[in-house]
Amino acid sequence: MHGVRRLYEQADLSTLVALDDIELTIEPGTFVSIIGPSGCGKSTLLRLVSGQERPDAGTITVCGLTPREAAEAKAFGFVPQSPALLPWLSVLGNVTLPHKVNRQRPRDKYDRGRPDLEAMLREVGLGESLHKLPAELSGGMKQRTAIVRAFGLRPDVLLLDEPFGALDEFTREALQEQLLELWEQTRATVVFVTHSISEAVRLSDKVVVMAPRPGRITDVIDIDLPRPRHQEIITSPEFHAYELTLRESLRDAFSHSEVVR
Amino acid sequence: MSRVIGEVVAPATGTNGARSRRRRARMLRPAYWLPFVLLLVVLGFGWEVGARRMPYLFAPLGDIASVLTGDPGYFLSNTLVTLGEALVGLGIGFLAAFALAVVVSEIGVVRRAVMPLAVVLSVTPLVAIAPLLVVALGFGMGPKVVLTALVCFFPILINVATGLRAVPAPVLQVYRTVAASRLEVLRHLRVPASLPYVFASLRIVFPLSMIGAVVAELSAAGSADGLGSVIQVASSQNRLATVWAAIFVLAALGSLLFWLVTLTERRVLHWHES
Repeated sequence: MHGVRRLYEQADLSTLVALDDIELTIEPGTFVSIIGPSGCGKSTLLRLVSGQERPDAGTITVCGLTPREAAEAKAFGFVPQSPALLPWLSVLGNVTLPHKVNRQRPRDKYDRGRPDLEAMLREVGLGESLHKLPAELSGGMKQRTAIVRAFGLRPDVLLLDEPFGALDEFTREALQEQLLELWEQTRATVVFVTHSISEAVRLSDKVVVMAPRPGRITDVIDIDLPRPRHQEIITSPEFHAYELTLRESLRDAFSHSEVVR
Repeated sequence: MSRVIGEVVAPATGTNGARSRRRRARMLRPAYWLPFVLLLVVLGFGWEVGARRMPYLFAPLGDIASVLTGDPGYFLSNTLVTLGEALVGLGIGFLAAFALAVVVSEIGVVRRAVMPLAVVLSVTPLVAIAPLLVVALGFGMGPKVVLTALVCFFPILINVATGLRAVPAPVLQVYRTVAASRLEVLRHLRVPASLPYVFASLRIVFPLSMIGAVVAELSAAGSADGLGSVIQVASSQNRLATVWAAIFVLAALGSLLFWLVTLTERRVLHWHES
């Protein structure tokens, strides 16, 4: 659908250098995780990519558009750490509202139509809760709603900012599974920020390791495991090998930043 | 406690109907209403003693009741005048304050200019300018409505301006990544998020509107209608029972308005925790 996606940026944010000399190309349709200690600019990176902040230097290109243009074309789906649902709208209402804003003209080249949102909600196990208010849902159900809200936009690029960070281990693994299932269907490009090594290995084609002060990329690791990746893969030796590699790389990132400080 | 719906176990937040039914059942129990009734009896007794000892301050309850029942039409028409002034003033104050709150929440420069002044004026007893308004605007509805609107304006402005900015940052981020316009953010996110603050301000401002109307009437007594004028004229003629009757009517009216706000709030804000 699109050519090669190129993300290249060099950003100096104020005197505190949140991100420095970031150079990254993400192939369309791949699942990329960004991992690194707190304060290494992972969230800043997402805000830059989605056009909410501008880089102080360097350029970012999303499917040949600037981030701002891509946002206007509704190319992005965003899932924040907290579900960020509107408490006065039902589950269905929350998932539908992004379609009602910034409405594209029907013949617009960017028009992507609206998928069957009810069916999507049913698919992730929210069929009984379509008309419930967020206050009546568990944490996992809320985050599932937030994920469907993002996927329902049929975005070219999905941005997830530690979406499972606040969930317990069981819910987290169930949601990873559902996220992969949804992704297999759409094959959008995913940029997934996480703190968890096993989560990064389980989900990604590529893991980007970042270090703080200044925020920068220290390593990029390809995860060459077969898909679909189900629960069992976690116990396989290859999975463990990748986890170890990643852990090593993160330790390097950490010690390096200590020296810099 | 949990209730089972199909296979999904949902926490028992309870439906609105069930909750209000439970509340009503609790209110019927003597332990709930007896303390209040006892207090009323004690206060009533104290009042009667007071009426005998201090006849220039209290009137016997029986006299007050007979004044009320003697000419209900008189009290009703004056009540409607005061209520009309209060509600028209409140309405104007609300619309103006809400409009300014939107401007203030959208434009930072205006916010930094207006809000410090608004905070100062909201703690200033604006009712004190009532006599000036009467001089300037005469004895009709004018000064009452203006004073009421003014008294209501600043509490509403401060609450609504806060409420419009109460949308959590991650929610704004989600809707900014789909490039929602400012108008869409205002309409779909900010205004609904401000509703709890709107109702909080209404609960402050309904009683204030009555105060505004009555104080303006007190300042323009003699040639005007309304319960404030009734009080002013009757007290100058030493008709204490009439004064107290008007005050009781005002208390009842204030409670009624407060109750109506609470009732509406429960309907509209069923999604809100409180």
